[in-house]
Amino acid sequence: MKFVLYIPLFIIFQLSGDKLKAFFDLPVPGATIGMLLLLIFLFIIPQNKNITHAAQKLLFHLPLFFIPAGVGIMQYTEILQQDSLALLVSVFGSTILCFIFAAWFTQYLLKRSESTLTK
Amino acid sequence: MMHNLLQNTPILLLVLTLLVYVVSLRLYQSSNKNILLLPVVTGITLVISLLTALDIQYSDYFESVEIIHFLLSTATVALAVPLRNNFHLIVEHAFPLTISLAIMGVLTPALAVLSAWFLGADTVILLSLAPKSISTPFAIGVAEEIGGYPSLVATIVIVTGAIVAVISSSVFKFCAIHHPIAQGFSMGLVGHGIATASAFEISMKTGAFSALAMGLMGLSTSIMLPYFVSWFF
Repeated sequence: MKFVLYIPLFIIFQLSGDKLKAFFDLPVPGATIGMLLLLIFLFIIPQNKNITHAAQKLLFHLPLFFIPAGVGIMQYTEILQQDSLALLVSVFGSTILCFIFAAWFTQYLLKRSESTLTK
Repeated sequence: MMHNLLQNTPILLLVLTLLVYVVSLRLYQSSNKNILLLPVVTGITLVISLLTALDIQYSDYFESVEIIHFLLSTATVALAVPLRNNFHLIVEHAFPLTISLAIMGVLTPALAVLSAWFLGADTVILLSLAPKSISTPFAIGVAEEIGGYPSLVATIVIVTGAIVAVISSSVFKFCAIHHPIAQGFSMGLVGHGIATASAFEISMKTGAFSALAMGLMGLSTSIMLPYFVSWFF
């Protein structure tokens, strides 16, 4: 249970990100700024197992944290029906195409860079 | 009676949500991780059914469970940890991965928005589709920033991740994608956290690169997209 003590560390960076966002009026999500700050912090301190463990625990329960926002979809049933074709095509079609391309393209780039390295 | 009780004691809605989550998680694990029983999908569906049955407004519900929503941002911040731990691997493959990230970072939102625009979708829908391939906490932050509907974004993002998780093994087979880094990286690029969970089931290396791609994609998109959108809309 020791990892619980490290959760507030993430919250400190989260709130710092929010504060910085508000202070400089940045159009980037506060959590993103918090994540960057934490990343810098993690390079300064020596690697810490408890922080890794705390992050793993928190990320494991990610599905729970989605629920409040996801439930809000119940407010938009009308919009969803109105634009359902566009939404379906965009979500299904573009996701499948992009994924196939991403997999092929990344493999192509990796193989290319690996073959130049071994030459 | 039940309705009044829940309305007046918001803590009960919080407990109810936690219970629904535990049930959804158990269901997923006992079904041998059947992709159709993803805890996010089951959880959201169950809560919506309960709220509808008990006639509770979404705004009242959200107020009671705001602490859970708060932790979504905390989890986003925590994504810095796997990014830090896999940093040596990023450096090793920096060049091909950066190019892949740059191209997909533009192509994924562009294709999603253009296809829906072509079919005549509303501006709000377009703005909600743009962040569909980035992890939900980032995507919700971006949606709040650019003016999409956060809840619609959450749903779109979750469905996108689930599609990638479901099709990945067939795509790898039919398109001869055998490179573990390419498999992981592409899953994380397009299918964020939900696909990353499946990538870890393939191998640790595949999972690590999926987590990496998810972090990089979320980071770059949430920084770039708000600027991009302010030029176009």
